[in-house]
Amino acid sequence: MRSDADILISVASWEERFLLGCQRLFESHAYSRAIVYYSDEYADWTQASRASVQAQCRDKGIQYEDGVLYAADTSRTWRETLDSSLGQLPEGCNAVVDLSTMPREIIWQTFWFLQYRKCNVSYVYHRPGKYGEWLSRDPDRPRLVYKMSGISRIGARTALLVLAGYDVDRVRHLVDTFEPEIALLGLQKDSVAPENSERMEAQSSAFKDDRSVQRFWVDAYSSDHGMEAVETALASISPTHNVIMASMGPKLSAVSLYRLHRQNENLGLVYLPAREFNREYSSGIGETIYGSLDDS
Amino acid sequence: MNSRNPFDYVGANDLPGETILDYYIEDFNFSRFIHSTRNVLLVGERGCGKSMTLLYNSFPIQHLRAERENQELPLDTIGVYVPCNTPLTHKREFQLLDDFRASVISEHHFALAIAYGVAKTLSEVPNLLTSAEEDNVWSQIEFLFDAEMPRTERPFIALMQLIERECIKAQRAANARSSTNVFYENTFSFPSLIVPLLRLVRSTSRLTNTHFAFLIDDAHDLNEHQRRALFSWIAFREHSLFSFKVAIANVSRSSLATASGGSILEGHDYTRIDMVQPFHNDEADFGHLAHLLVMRRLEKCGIDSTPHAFFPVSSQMLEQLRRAEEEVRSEAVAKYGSDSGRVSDYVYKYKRAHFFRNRPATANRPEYSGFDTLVYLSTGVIRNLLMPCYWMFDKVISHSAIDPEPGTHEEPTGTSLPNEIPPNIQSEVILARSRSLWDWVRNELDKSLEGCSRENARRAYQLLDNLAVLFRERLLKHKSEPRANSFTISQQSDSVMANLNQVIDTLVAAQLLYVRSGAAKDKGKRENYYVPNRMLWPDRGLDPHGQHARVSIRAPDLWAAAEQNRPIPFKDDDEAASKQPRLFDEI
Repeated sequence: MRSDADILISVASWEERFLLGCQRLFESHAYSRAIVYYSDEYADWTQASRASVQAQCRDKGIQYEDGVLYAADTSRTWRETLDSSLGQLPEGCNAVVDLSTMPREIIWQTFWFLQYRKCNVSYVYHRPGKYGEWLSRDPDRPRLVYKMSGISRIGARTALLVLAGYDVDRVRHLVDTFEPEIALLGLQKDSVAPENSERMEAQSSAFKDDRSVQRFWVDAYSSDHGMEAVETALASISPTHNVIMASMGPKLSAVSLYRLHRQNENLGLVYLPAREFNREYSSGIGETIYGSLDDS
Repeated sequence: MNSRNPFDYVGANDLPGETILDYYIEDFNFSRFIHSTRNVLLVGERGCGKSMTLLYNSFPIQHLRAERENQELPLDTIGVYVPCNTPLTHKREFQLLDDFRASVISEHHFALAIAYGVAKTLSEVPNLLTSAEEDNVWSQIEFLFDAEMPRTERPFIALMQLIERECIKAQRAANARSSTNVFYENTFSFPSLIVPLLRLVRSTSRLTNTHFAFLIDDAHDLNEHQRRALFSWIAFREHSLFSFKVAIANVSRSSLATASGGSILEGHDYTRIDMVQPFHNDEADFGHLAHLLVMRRLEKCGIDSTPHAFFPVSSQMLEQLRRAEEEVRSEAVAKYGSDSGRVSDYVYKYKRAHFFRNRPATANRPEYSGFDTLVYLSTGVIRNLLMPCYWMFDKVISHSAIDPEPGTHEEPTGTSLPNEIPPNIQSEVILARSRSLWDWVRNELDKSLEGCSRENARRAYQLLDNLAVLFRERLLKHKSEPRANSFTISQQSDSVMANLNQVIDTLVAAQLLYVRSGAAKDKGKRENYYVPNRMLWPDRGLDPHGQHARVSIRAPDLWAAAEQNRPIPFKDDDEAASKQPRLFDEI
């Protein structure tokens, strides 16, 4: 990671790794400013950890500011929160995005604004110490991400690329919503989570009889976060289809999909929100992974 | 999977034109309304045949049909298919604009999609233009788009490219990385693009009297501004030039408001066709449709059979039903003597109930089999009919691969086609599908259904579970309407219905409950009644063959069942089940 990075951007969470991650970052690097977003729906759940990060910032002389993510009004989030904070950053500043507890839609929008402001963008991801049983329930309608919805051709059929997580139903939900002619299902090769292979097997077998679903393997923890594998899977599809891509597997796969979108404006990004989260999803903090966006 | 499975239930958009032509049944589903110049709304949940109906009526398929039947090219009405479930429709950048500009850019994309449909359709009409007309079309298109086109392609192909270019320009403006602005200035609307385009087309000799039917598929995927624009166009009552045939999942969940703040009215502005059909017995339209549909698919697959012969009823069950009928008829004759009408009515009501009531307590589930059972299990939705058939067919093919039956028909390719689906396989598949549907309701509803909280998922499961218990008790003990498996809601109050409707909406969205409208007992009024997906019943040992009755259940009892898992009160001689007007019309 660059040593001159000076703005940390993060989303507050009840997961321990949010607070522990901030501590870890503040101890290893000097920051001038921390921007912490939080969801209005879960403000109570994150109040204590936000106060704690704010106190750490005060102690270390870091300017602290927070911003609301409006769960029911994404356009308000864009206008009133992201545009008015990230959209006003000084051009060319150094920013570090903590992906650990940041929803993928906010990751992509944060990257977008930072690159719009021509910032040097780094990211960090803190793995949790331990995973819980489930992360989220009650899916909301999948949504294309503002400014990253891709360029669609009117007559072309849809292809959906999903980097699958552990939940078969969420993938099925995306397929049912967009009714793609082709669905490319990226399965995570390896993970620290012991149940990974079993869950990927479940994903694979759930779609084995569906002729429109093609499966491929991807490793989000590799140096390119699986980008090459995704690119290869898309090679024959993207010239003829309107491709939309969803990251539901390891968080780092969101970075590779963002990069692919930046390389090819035709590829759209889609986010599947959820309305209910498991407060016990993870505990502790594990390894921290660092990276930077190359094309800033 | 065998690619020759005749019961493939993939979406109509994934079927080749030839297959749509092969499989589509025009009769018994009101689809001829599409041929009129009226605006038509085809309403129904996924899988009820909306897209198939629209695609069948699109010009390319009708062209194919005319060729097959050696008829003239059908140019009196040209169906222009416009899909709405596309990434273009799902774009949300308009949300970053004020209402006016959001509606302008939304209509722009929708108008371009329709214009593209027109251009694509016309590009497929052979020898459409004379050379003089071609020149005129070129210059008019260039004027309309204020653009010059290289005349290397045919005009409507070039028009498609031009429209695509306009569409891409607007998207690039919205997605520009150098600006947070998402608006695009040079927009089109229906009056500024589609109407002039249609008038231009009508100026050509072959299309002078052509009516354009815009076949708008999945209109529920349009954004609110596009839907309002569409309904404004529908409110335009002059239909000589164009009309709209709109497939939409559920009108009650989408506002019918127009852009000017009015609302379109059934009868005046449009005709509504409910694609999920309420009546499923042999005599009803859906029974006929199901029979024709399966017959056609068997024929096209090269299987010489009828639906009833291909899906036979278990001989054991037939024998048991015969004995049940004898016993019930004796009871009826003892009760009503020579009054044949009342005897028939009694036999109809109690024959199947008698069979279910007199099964030994330790017996396995009855063997669910027979084409009629499949039709009842479909609850009036075509995909629900095809899905178990698909699995059954596949299972028979898989079995024959390891243990070929002497009765199967050998294809030249070496593939064996079955002459029938044995009843035991039908039953295995039906029970497995039923079990898996309950598993989904119990464990997955909140994970796979938009807007379904864990609480509502729990309530939805508990409501269905308690309905199953109630219907089971009725089947075994009720004195007058033992096989009723649909219900109405009585004693509705605002406070209870506010909660209960959330659960009902969840069940409807999950296609676990179908809402229909029928005659009420009171003064000829209409009322909503509710039919649970009958695929739920085999796993609970119930009879999917319903009867012409609805159980009236109090709203507070339904809510208590959903919220507190409290059993729904049961009386064995209640008067709550109400008859439909005609004996053989229902369920």
